[in-house]
Amino acid sequence: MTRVRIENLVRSYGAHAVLKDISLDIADGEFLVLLGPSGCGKSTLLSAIAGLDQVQAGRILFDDRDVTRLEPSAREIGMVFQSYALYPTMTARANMAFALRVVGASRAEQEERVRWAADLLQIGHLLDRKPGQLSGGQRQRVAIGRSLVRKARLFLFDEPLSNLDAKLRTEMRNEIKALHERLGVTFVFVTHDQIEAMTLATRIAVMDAGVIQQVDTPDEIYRRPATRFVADFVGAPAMSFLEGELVAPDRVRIGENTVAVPDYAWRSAPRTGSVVFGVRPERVSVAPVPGTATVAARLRGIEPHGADTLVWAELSGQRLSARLTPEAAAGLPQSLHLDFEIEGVSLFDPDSGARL
Amino acid sequence: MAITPQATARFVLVPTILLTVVGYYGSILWTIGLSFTPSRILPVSRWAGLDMYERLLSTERWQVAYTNLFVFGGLYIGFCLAAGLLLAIALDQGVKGRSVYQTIFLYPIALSFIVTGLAWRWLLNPTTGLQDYVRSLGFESFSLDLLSSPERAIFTLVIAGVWHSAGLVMVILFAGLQSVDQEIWRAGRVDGIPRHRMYRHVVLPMLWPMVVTCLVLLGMNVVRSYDLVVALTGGGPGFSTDVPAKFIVDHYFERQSVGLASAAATLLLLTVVVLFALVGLLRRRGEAA
Repeated sequence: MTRVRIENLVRSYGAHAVLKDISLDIADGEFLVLLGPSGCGKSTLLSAIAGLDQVQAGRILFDDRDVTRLEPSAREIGMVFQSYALYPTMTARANMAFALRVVGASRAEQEERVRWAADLLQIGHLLDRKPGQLSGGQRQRVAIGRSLVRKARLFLFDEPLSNLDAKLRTEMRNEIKALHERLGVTFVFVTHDQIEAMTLATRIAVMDAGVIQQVDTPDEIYRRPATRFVADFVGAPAMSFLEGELVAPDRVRIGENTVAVPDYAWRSAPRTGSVVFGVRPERVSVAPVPGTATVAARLRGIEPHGADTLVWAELSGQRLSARLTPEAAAGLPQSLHLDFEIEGVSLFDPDSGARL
Repeated sequence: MAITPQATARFVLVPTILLTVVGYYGSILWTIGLSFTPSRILPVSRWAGLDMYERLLSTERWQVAYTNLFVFGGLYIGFCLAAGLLLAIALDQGVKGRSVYQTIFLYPIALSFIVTGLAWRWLLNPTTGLQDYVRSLGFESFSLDLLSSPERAIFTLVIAGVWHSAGLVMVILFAGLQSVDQEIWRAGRVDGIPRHRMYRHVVLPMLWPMVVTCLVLLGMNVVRSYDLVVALTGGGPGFSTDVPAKFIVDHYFERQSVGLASAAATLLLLTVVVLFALVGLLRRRGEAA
């Protein structure tokens, strides 16, 4: 049972700052996902929490205990690595029991802990094999098992699914989620895959360039992204961004068109001036006839995705996409009348990228 | 009929293949054949059965030379592996100026065994080398006289050999250590495994194939150890530091007993074949592990 508190963490390699004054609170029993593109500092942050990477400034607290200078082994953590990092010349059993063996645990205790973890992960029949004789998914299970055998209060996962194929990834994702529910301890999980983040997390911390952009529930991250970066990074197909101008508190002009934003949930009092108008593709629809709320656009292309079809349109010289059912996308005319649902609209400051 | 590129390639290789078959395997077969003849200065083709082998095995000089092969080989390989491994681990720990040390320890490999032998002969010579130097510093009773002692001269070969070859082992094992995934070390730290136990239980077993490679390379040095002996001790005092290769060359070209030398060469070949079969077994066990 561990609460993690990160205070003003700084890590840089020479002149290159990887973590810039990071602060983050992780509640007990939470499944926190660190999400971001490669090089954003998410793995470095995880290494700092694990104690594998020294930080230059700031503190890390586990349940109010300062662990900033503690060795990883003293932090009571379990960690699963991207490459699995199993000891290749040892059997799965020896891999899992090695840490206990080194601290001099009795054979019976080693066997009991390994048995417990193996049952939990259903790898009992693999215990006598070496990593080279296991498939990727089985290795991953053994790696998780190894982290379970020591009594850990906090589990850290460093992109553990990125070396698996798509089907196995879905399977392991479900298993990790079930494991979290079963153990009830705190999980911190690093990934660049937004689907993993959305499906696993109780909260997601989106990182970019060494800064946490937003920490929120997956739903909140998706519906009300705090910055343009978050809006762009999360969501597939991606949000469309159009440059416009706020001409009245409920009106955005985009080129010669005007879009009404009557019920927009403003973060601060609206100020007229240029804005970035972002809209989720699934919240764009095509109206059969022009209405008071529709804007005129030209059809630019159609991408069938199977379950739905992505329609590309041009609005006053700027491109945007609409996610329609294949039926709705069939036989569209060249000139379209688009309708935006206000729930899918986000407005950003063009300079700072912050949500308005 | 058109000539295919493959046919051309085979044709071009014919001289090389002929040279190998005749010059190499042919010579081996001829040597084995000669070992069953009573040839003296020139080869004769009279059958003498195992006479030469009987004479060889009762020759004291051969007994010493054959024993030395294992004494020198065992100590040389053992110390080379130990020293090379320790140096490699030291480098892997991230010593400052790593490339400088690497060059220093690898440098002796660039020297031939002849030069190595001569250098150590001067160094160990009581009247001109280390002993004289230390005495000139005032330690009058200092004595370092390995070369003139029949029991200890063999160790000078070991010292010079290890000095020469430990760097090679270091480089090979260091490359192996560098190729160990950093995440394995990180996993060990999370697991709370002390470094020395990581080396013993995890990293060294991973390096097994490279250790076997070193074993083969060093083993070949032992079998062909001729130049080092000639340059350093000349096989002496007496024939106390003789090795099979030197015994064979001496008997072929100086003592005019081609039959005896051939028998010795055949025995040496047999020994090597057995040893390399053992290494092959070791390698397969490493792969299964």
